[in-house]
Amino acid sequence: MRASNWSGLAILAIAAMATLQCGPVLANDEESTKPTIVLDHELPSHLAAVTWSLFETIDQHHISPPSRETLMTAVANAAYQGDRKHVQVAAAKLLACQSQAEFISAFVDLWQLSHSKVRPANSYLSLLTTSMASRVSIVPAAEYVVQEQLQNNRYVGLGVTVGNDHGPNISFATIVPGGAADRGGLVNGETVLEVDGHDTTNVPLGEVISKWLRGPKGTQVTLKLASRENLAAREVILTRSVVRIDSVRGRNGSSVSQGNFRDQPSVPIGYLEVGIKGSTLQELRDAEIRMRADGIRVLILDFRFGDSSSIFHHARLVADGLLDGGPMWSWQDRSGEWHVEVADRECLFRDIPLVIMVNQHSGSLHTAVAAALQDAGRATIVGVKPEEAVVVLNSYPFANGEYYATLPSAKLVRGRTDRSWPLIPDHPTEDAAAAAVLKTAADRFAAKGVSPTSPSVPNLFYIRRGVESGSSSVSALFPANLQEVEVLTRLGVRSLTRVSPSGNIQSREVENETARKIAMQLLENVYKQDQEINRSVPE
Amino acid sequence: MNLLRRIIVIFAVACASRIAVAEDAAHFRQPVAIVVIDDDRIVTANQRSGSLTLIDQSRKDVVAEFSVERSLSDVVRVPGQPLLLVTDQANHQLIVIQITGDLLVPQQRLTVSPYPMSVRVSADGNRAFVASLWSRTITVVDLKSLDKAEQAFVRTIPLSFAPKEQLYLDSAKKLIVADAFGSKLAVLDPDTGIVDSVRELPAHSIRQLRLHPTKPRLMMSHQMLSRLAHTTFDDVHWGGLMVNCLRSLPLADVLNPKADLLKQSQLDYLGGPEQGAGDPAGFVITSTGLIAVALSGTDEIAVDDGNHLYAKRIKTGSRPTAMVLDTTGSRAFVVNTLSDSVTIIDIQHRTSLATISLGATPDLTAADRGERLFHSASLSHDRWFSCASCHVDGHSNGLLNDNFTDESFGTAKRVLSLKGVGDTAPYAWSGRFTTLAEQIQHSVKSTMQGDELSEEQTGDLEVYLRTLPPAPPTGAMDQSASERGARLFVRLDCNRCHTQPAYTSARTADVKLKDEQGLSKFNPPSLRGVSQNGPYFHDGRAETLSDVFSKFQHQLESKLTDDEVRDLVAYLNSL
Repeated sequence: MRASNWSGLAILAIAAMATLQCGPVLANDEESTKPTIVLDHELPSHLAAVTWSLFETIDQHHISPPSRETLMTAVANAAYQGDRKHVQVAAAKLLACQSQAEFISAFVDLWQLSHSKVRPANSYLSLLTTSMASRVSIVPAAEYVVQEQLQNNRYVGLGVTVGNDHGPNISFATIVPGGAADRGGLVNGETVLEVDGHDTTNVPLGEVISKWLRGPKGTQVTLKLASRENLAAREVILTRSVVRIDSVRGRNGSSVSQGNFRDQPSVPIGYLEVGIKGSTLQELRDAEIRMRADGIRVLILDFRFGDSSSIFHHARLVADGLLDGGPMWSWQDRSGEWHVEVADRECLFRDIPLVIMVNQHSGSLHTAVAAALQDAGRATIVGVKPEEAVVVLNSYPFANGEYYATLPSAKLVRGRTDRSWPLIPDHPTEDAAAAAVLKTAADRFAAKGVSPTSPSVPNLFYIRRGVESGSSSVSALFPANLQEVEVLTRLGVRSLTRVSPSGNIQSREVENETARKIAMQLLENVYKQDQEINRSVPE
Repeated sequence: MNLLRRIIVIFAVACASRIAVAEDAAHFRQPVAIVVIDDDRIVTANQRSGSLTLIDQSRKDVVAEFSVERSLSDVVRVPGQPLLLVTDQANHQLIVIQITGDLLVPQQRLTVSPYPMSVRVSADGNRAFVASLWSRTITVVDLKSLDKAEQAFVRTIPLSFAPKEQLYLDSAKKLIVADAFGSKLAVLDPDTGIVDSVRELPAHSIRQLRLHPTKPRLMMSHQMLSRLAHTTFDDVHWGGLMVNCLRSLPLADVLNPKADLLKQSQLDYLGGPEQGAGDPAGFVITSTGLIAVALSGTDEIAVDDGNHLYAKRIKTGSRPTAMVLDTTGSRAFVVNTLSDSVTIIDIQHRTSLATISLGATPDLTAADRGERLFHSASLSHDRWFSCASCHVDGHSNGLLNDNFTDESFGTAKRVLSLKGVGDTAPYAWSGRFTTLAEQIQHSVKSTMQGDELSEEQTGDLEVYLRTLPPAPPTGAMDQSASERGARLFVRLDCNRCHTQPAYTSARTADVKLKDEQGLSKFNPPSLRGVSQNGPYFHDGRAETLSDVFSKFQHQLESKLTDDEVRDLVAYLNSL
C-alpha cells in the first residue's frame, strides 16, 4: 500500500467521527483535552460562540481572510444546510451584527428558524468551512491530538485500520506490521464483536473508535474476535502502544528494510515512495544507507500522492535534507514580512541524481518540496503538473481549545524568483498520456466492432483544461467520437483522462515509464563522470 | 601493582628532585589525552591534576603518576625518540618529557601562545605544532633547536577562529586545523605560515581528525545542529534537530583550496531514534577500516558493523573522550575523563576487556556533580545531546538554534556562551529568566526535551556553571588603540547597556534589529570575552566586531570613522 494509505485510512476513521452526535469527545492521550459537554438546548449559542471564535482566529491568522459577507453567508448556508431561499436574508441579518453578543443572539434566532430538530455540531461546522471556500478546516481537539500523532509518526493505538463493510460489527481491515494487533496475532479482516465487553453490533464506527478503541499509551483493551476459517471466536488483550507507520517505502509499498528498491535487478536505479511526516527525514537517512550499500546511482522519488495529514514544518525539514544549500523558498506572513528559508549544506543522496514524479494528486507540500529541488537544479521533475495551489497551512486552537482550525497562514514563493506556481514538470507526461489513452480507446472500439455513435456506448472521456482560470478543473463529457476528441487535442486540450480507474493507471504508467527513461539518461551521465574521474585520479 | 617495581620507582623518584610523583591521596585527574609508548605501556595526560599517568596495560595497572603542572591538555609521542610532548593549558607551556625506564621526566618547558590545547609532531620528529585555543594561534616549534630557546620557535600563525584538534600530513607537509567550537576547518602550510584555506562545514564540536588507514580520506567526528528544526519533542526524537556523525572527506579536496569540500563527502549517522549517540569524540580506525567511536555523552563506544551502521555499543566509564589503537591494531584504549579510568576494548569482537582505574578519587562536590550533568546526554530526550553539545566546553558553538526560550519558533537565535554566566543575570536573549536556576530548568525541559530536573540537580548544575570564568580575550590588541577605544566606549554611552564590571545589565534594549516575530528588544549580552563570541547579534548577522559598527551601526546615531571602529574593536578585543 502506498505511504499515504495508512494515514489515509486512519483519517477515514477520523472522518467517520463527523457523523457522531454532538456529545462528549474522548481524549486519547496523557495530555488529554477536556471533553466539552454541551446540552441540547445550549447547542445554538454554543455553536454561535464557536463560530465567532473561529472568525476571530481567521481574522488573526488567515493570509487572505474571506470578507465578512462571505463569512456570514457561509454561516447562513451552514445553518440552512444550503436552502438558498433563506440564506441571503439570514446572511444580511448576521452581517448587521456589531458585537459578539448581537451575533450570538442573531445566530440563535436563525438556528431556531432553520431547524425543526437539533443537528450535530460537526455537520454544521463542516458545511460552514466548505461554504467559506477559504481552505479552512476544523477538527475537534481530540482529533487534532490524533492528527498530530500521525503527522509525527507516533500514533498511539493498536496498529489497525478500522472499517465496517462486512456487516453489523466493525472489522480490522488492515493490521499495521509491528503494532500491538500484529504482535497479538491478529490478521487482516478480523471482525471485532466486543471491545472491553461492549457489543459493537450496529454501533456507529466513529463511536467504537473514539469511545472504546482509543486510549493512552500503555493501557489495555480486551477484544472479542469473531471466528474465522480455522479459528474459533476468541478474546485477546492488547496494549496500546506507539505505532510507527512508514512514510518512505520501496517498490510496491515494501518497507525500506526489505531493500526492494530496484525496478530491474541489474540496473542501479532506485525508487522510493515518499510521504511527508515528522519521521521522513530520518527514514530517508536510513534508506540512503541501504541504497548506497545496494549500489544505487540514480534515484526516483515518487511524490504522486496527497499530504492531507502533513505539515509545512516537515516539508521544510525534508526539503532541507535533500538540498545542498541555497534558498528553498520564501514565505510572507500576515504582517507582510518576508522570510527567506535557506537550506544547509548537509545533503542526502549527495551525488545521486534525483528524478521526482508528480501528478495531479500530489499535495501542496509535495509540490513545494519538488519545486524547491527543481529550482536548485537538484532534481528533474517528471509527470503531470500538480494543480494544488501551494499554500502554507497552520493550525490554531480556538473556542477555548475545543477545536483546532487549519488555515493558510502564509504565501509561499519559490526559491527562484523568476519562477512561480504552478510547478511545471521538466518532462510533462500529459501529452504522452493523452496519446496513450486515445490509442487504447481506438483499439477498444475496433475490438468491439461497435459504432462510436451508438447510444449504448458509454461516454468514455472527460477532458481537463489548464489551470490558468484558477479553478481546479473544467470537465465536459464528450461523445465517444474519436475524431472529435482528436480535434480537441489539436486545439490545445492539455490532458485526457479516462474516467475509469484503468485510465488513471495508464497515466501513472506513462509517468513511470518517462521517469525510468530520464533516470537511464542520468545514469549514463553518472557513468561518464565515473570514467572521467578514473582517468584523472593520480597514481 | 607489582610492589617491588613500585618501590623502585618511588626510590628513583625520591632521588631525582625534578620528578614529582603525585600523591596516592584521593584526587581527581580527568584524563583527556592518551598515547601508546610501547606494546605494554600507555600514558594519559590529566587535565585536572596536571599529571601524567603511566600505565602498564598488560598488567592492567598504574605504574606511577607524575605531577607535571598545572593542567595538561594533550600528550604525543615524538617518533623515533624516547620523548613525549605535553601541553599545559594553565601555564601556557609546551613541555618536553623524557621517558627513562618507568620514569617520565620533564626536560624542558617552552612558553607558547596562551591556552595550548593540542600538539602534533611530524613523522621525522623535527617539527611540533601547538594549537592555542583562546589566543587563536598555531605555534610551529623546531624540536631540533629546543636547547637554543629563541630558535625553537619557527613561527606563530594567527587564525580567525579558536583551534583545537589538528592533523599533520607528512606527505603534503600541511597542517589541518579544526575549530574548537564551531564549523571551521583550516589548512595551513607550517613551513611558510600561509593559511591555504579556511572553510566551513555543516558541523560543530569537531572532536577528532584522523586519516583513513587505506583510503585517501580525512575522517572526523562531529555533530550537526539544524537551524531550521525546532526544539520540539518530535524534531528531537526524529533526529531533525541534532545528529551525531562521522564524516569522511577526500583528502585531495581538503588540500585543494578551490575544491568544494562537501562534493564527495560521506556521512555516517551515529545512533538514531530511541538510541541517541550524544557527543561523539575520539575514534579509531583499524587497518581493515572498522571504526570504534567514543560517545562521550552516553558513556559508550559505538562500533561499526562494517556497513556504516553503529548498532553495537560498549559501556565505558564516565565521559569517554580520547581514544587510541594499541600496537596490535585490534584493541583500543579510551580515557574516561570523568571517572579517572581507561577502558580497553577489543574492536573486532566489540567487547570491553578491562577498565583500569587511575587511582582513588574523592567524593563528588556539587560542582563535580554539576559538571557530570552538564556533559551527560541523559539530560536530553533519548540521549541525542548534552548541554555541552551546543555550549561546547561551557562556551558556544556559535550556531543558531530555534528553541522556545523566546516563546516562538521560526526565530532561531545564536547559542549564548555560558562562560562567566554566573554574573550575567537575567538570562536568555530576551532576558526572560531572572535566575540561573530557572534558565537551567527551562533549557533541559524545553530545549533538550529532557525530564524535569530535580532541585538538587538544578542546584548542582548552577554551582558548576558558576565556576566557569569568562572567556579570555583573543589578546590581539594595540594598547593605545585600546585605550582610545575605552574612552569611545564611554563617550558613545555603550556602558549604559553594557555596564561594568560584567559589561551587561538587567534591562532590555531595542536594538532595531528584529527577529522573525518582530522581537527587537534584547537583554544586552555580556561583553567579557566578546572577541570569542562571533558571529554577533541574536541571529549572527554581524560576522565580526567591526561589522557590528561599520555595517550595522549598532546603537550609533552617526557613523564612526574607520579609525574609531578600529579603536573600539581593539578595546572590545581586550575584554
